[in-house]
Amino acid sequence: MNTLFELHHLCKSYKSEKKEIKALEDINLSISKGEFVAIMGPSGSGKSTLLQCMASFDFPTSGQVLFKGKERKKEEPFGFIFQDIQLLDSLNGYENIALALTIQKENGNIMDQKIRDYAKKFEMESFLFQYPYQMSGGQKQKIAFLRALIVNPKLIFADEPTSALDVSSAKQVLQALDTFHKKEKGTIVMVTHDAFCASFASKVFFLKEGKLFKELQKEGSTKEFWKKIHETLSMLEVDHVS
Amino acid sequence: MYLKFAFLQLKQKKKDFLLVLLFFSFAISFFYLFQTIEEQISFLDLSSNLQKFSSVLEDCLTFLNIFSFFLFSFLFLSASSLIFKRQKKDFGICLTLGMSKKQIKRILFFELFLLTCVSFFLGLGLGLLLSRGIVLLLSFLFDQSIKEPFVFLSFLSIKKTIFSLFLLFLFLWLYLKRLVKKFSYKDFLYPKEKKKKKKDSIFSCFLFVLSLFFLLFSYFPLTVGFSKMETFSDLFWYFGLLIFGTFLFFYSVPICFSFLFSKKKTWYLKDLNFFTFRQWEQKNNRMVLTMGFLCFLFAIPLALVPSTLQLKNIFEENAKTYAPVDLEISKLYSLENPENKGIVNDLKQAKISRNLFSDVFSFDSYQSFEYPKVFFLAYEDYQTLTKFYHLPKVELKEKEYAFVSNVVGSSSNLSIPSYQEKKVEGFLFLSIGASNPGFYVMRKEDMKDFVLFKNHLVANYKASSEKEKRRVEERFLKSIKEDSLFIHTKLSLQEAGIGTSALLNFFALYLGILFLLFGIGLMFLKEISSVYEEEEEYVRLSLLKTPESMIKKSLRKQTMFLYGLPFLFSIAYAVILYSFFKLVLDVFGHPQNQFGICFVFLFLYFGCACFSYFWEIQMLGKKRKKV
Repeated sequence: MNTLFELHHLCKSYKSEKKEIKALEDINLSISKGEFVAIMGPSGSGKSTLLQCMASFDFPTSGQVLFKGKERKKEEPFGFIFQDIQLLDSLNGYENIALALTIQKENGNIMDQKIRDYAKKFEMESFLFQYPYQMSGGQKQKIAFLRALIVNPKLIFADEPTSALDVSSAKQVLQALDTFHKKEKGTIVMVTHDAFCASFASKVFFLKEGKLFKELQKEGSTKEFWKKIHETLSMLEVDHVS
Repeated sequence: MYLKFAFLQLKQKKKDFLLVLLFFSFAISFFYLFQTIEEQISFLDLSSNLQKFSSVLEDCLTFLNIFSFFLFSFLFLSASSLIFKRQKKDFGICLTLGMSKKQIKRILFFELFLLTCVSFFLGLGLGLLLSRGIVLLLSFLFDQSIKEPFVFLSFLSIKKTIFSLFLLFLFLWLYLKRLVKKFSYKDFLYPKEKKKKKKDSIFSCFLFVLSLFFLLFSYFPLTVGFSKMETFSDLFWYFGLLIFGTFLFFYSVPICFSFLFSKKKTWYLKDLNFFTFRQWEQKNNRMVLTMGFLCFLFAIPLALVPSTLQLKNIFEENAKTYAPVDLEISKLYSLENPENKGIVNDLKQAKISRNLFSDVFSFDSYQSFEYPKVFFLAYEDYQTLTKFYHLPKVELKEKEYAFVSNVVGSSSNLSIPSYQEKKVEGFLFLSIGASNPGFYVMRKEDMKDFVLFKNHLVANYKASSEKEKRRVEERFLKSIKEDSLFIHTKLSLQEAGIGTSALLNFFALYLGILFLLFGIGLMFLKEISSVYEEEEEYVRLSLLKTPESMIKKSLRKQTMFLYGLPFLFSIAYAVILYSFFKLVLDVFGHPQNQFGICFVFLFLYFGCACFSYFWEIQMLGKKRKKV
């Protein structure tokens, strides 16, 4: 069985003073192992809520999130890349990456070797020991990416990882994600507004008003896929970036 | 409207305001307590001698209260600026919505007003409760009983406290007004840009080694070699070096430690240790001065209070040894007035009955033309005196004289040709310390050319109890009107000892508590303020799913570093100060250790460190939960 995630009739609602707001409504989807999945949709369509439910940051009101056919355990290691990067300003790049391993209670010497190896692999050695204020946006997000990757997650959640970056920085991050997907056979679930960003994925889920609107599988070249995404977004009337 | 807005702000940021409220209330109770002393002293059954000391205390207290007012103002200023920082974003939003700076100032005015009013009543309540403690302290210091048990409400002190509070309010209000005026829209809306520049690790290690060298180089001469120090300038230089070394140490220690420990990856990367070090580094940058000052501020109570507390015992013991009789009188013989007879004659003229005394001994002292600066007692008279004073007897052979003194290191500067000198420990005049610089005892047949110098009388009262003795003494002192008599009484000397030690103890306790409260208060505010500035870092840690236990452990370590290091330094400095005070105390007698009081100070210090830690946990936990 290659299925990693299965979502069955997933619903999430928030109760305000008088009315109930439905953020997600009857979502059914599956994500296979090694897939690069993008989730798109207009603002308020429930993309981030869906990602948070999958990452166990939040809990659904009803329905099921199955991980490898079972209820997802909280302890399962995964990487999470935040929209606003969330690097700790007081720590340098090396220490920010080490943080993820420290939480996993990894041995210090192994940790050190691992960080250096990964930094070499993803060409980050030049700014590894710099502090966030000394780095460009792309470099920061690459550090955040490595922090997510270093725990050997096999699964990375990314919440609009390129939204705060310029074009070249965004490309750097996407290439790093692509390398992880192709070389490490890792699974990526990414929320994005950006069609260019989503074109790197192998599958795109479109959400509209909390419901699954469309599922798009990558066929042909990246450019062709980008066009298809564009068309779907136009249908959704989204002010997309690219 | 402004009052309502201010009230809403208080309600919304109640935890931050609660912190300031605590500070204000403590300070107000402190003001009130020490204002009441003047009136509280009247509740003690003080003799006329002790009343003189209490009036000195009252006079000095006015200056001390002014001094403490300035220290507390500085503390309040820090607390108010903390509150202002916590609200400035809200004010920034209000400004963008069209509110004027004048309106913001009004809101701040009402906030401060509400805070001051509430803290006044809280502080007063606390002051009333603690007033019982103050009167107990005074009765302990003056060794007197309290006339009646009470909780003391003094309207005069309340008026004075209100006046101090009004001044403080005005001061803070002007400060906040200035802040609002100075701040631009950008300052209100965005956090202040942090100084990003990191200190160089190698240079910090060099500074650290240098600071250790300075500290060790100055510490040992100031402790072990203190008594051998020859000039004041030596003391000045060593002390200067110690202060400089301390600040240099605090400036360099976190970066140096972080650099050194980063080499040991298994330890450095474990349990958020690297985060702990970086946080310590950041806090340290803001708190170098505070931590340096805290070392000295905390050392003062640790050394001063146990030292002054010893004085009470020393004076009590000394009074037994150096005032062994109830009364000692001396009178100078006047060459111009040969009619001037002895003390016994004066007592007769004053119609003082001999029945007042159980034992009386009168004798003369002499001076010689050849040795004008010193005086002599006849050997036979001194032998009798030793019986009265319980002193060791002196054996003088022919062509021998004795030098009698009890000051450590005093030496005779007399040399009588063909005579031998003996050194004997003893005294003539009653005192509360070993203060006899020296006189001489000679056989009467060797003092043929000597002239009369003074007439002396020592006596004990005919009384069985202390109360009776006091009554006899009062009667005696009332009757005697002769100005030429120098009178020392055991009771007055005892009271002088009690009064002096009470004064010194009181000032030591006052300054000790003041410095302690100021030091830890300042440290606490700085620590909380820096955690407020770093709260985003903790939120990020939570987002990365860092276990709560790891974050708590890191905070514990940070608190330990920030409070622990100044604590260790304070202990080391207290040793220096204590060795200095001990030199002074040794002049009065042999002190007994009174370090028990230090545990109270340590308890307060660690209480503050724990409070600071739990406050941070609470504050950060709440923020993380929100996110």
